[in-house]
Amino acid sequence: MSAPAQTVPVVLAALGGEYMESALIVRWLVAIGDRVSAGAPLVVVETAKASAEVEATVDGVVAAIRVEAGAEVEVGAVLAELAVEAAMPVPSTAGSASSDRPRESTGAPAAAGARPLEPRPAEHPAAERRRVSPAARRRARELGIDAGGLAGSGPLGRVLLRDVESAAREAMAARRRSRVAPPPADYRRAMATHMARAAAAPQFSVSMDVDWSALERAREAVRALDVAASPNDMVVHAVSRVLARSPEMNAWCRDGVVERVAAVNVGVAIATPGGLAVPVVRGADRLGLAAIAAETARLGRAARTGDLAPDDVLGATFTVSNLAPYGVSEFRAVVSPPQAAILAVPAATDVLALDGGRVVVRPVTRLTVTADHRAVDGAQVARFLRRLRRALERYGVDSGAPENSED
Amino acid sequence: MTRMRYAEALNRALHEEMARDERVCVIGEDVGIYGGVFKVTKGLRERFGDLRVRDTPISEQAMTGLAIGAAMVGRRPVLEIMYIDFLTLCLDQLVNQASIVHYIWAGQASLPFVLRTQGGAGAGAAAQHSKSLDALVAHVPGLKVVAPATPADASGLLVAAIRDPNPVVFLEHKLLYNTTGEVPEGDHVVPIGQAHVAREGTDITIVASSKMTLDALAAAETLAAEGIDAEVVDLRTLRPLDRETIARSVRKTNRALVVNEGWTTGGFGAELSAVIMEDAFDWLDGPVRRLGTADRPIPYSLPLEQAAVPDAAAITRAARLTLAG
Repeated sequence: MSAPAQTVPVVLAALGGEYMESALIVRWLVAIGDRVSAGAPLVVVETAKASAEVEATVDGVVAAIRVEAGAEVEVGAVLAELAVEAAMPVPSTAGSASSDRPRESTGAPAAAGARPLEPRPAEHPAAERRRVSPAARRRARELGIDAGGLAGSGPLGRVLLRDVESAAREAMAARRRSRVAPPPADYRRAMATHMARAAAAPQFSVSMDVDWSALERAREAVRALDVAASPNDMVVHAVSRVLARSPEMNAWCRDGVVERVAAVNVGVAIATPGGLAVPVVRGADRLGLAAIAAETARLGRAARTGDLAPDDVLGATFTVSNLAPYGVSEFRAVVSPPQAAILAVPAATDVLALDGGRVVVRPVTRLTVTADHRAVDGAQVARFLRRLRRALERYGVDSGAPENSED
Repeated sequence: MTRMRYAEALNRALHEEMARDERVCVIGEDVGIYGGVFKVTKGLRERFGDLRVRDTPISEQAMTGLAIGAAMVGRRPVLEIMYIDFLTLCLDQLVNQASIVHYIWAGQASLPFVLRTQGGAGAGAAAQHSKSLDALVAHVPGLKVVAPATPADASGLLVAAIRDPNPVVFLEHKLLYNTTGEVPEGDHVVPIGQAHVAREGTDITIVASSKMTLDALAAAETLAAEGIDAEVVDLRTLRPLDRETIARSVRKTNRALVVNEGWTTGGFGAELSAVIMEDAFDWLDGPVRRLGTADRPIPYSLPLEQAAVPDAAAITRAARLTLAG
């Protein structure tokens, strides 16, 4: 007989970062009575921005499931209970990361326990080496599946091609199911809550006209280099360099406490069919233009298909919102808490200017930074804008921004 | 296209090649006056004379030597060995002379020589007249070995063999002579060394040649009724083997059954199995299965002969087992 069991709760953690207050229960991966081991995925949840699995952190048996698939539950809610043997050390919760986990200043997301829905090699001891047909092994390698972890339908339990194909189909179907975007109403509600919180911050805006000629020249240079980088990638490129030299702008402000963040994680606002998504280019100041462009392209695809993982949307330290493609001449964006500031990039407008006594035509963009006054003041924002203008007006594909500053 | 029997297709090819090239001559037992026991050489002696169509005594070793000598001095002989069972008598001439001439004279000599023979069981011809010895000749470098399954391939490959500058062993099957098929008109040549997919399928590759190709095609129809979509690769040439066509098919179907009418142990099926393992291992979803004749002399009794030698029913069973393996 096993020792008397005690139960520990599986709790919904804040997987989705600052936007997340609740999550949709998409699908249970276990049933009552199932024996699970630590690390085993228990349930697929969908937050406003990403799909994730909640994993068990202890070995045990599923004793109760508290919420049905399709339900929306708040962070901190008990999703299930796991029965563990009394002799085992029992942590406070059996679910994934606790929601009060302190945020690290490196900008690393507090997303332990949540992970993107990728096929993952199952762990099995080498001693239990399974029979796998060569074709199944090859196909599994192509699909990123560990064939040895599958149940084989061939003679002596040999894993066959059809077993791999069917596992791949199931994984795809699971991805599709979990990818079902939350109903727009839910998403809008999450946005509304977040924006209301944003509106509570004392925000102010500072604008500056920037000569866009260098950026337009750079576009041609980029085309010649066969790099698929958009003008916005160049802005992110330049912004990340300037942020690295302007730590007061690369900060989080929570409950009036300002925290400068070492990592430069630039959020890029993307309009998707499901609404606004703000995936993050992590460590942008250390990425070259091509790498930034590749990452924004990947994030854009993921945002449009609903495939953004928690790591893709967490930990932004600054956001760039670009409405240039719409021909907008000027706009102010709303700061996204806990970030300190956001940059609004409208379209460039041709203006007449004097250049050494000659009248010339120049493309000019009116950049606007909106900031949380609890984190930064007007002079700091103005200095940031001046550095950014200098960087953009002398923009080079290689450097992103000149290192020397004028202040 | 003209519909004709396998034997007629061979006969027409011989007529055309002898008319096209006066160096082409025919040597063998009963090939002249009698026109061949399977009528493949019918009408040749009447048309081309007894100098170019030579009836010989029953002396396989001597007539093989005669043919090889004729080839060495510029003729293009087509030798008929009536039964493959008596090919053993020719092996010294074939293996120690014909196959190495081109090599030992460093390419300065060539040997345009075709050895036609027929084998196979199914006629109640007993242990001395029913063998399939494909593996014996396919083992030897310097020989080309073809084993056509259809009248069209028989005709096209015989023309290619006669025009080839070096020895070609041409394997016919006694049960194929009366099968019929469409044969293209004109200068119809089937290149040596090219297999072809006789039936496309997705579930299993059956590799066969000669009569086994027809049995495999019949088996594929039975399998189709069971929902198994078999692909049949007809080798046509055993040496040089068209490994690419075999591998391409197995990479598609992931399963392979190899069929050869010769004895199973050390037979040509073993070669095919090894080739598949070498070229398509990572695409195999189960072991390659080999089907050949039981390792014993071919029985005279028809029911026992049928039990010993693969046929469409045996191929069907083997294909099911391959898919279950």
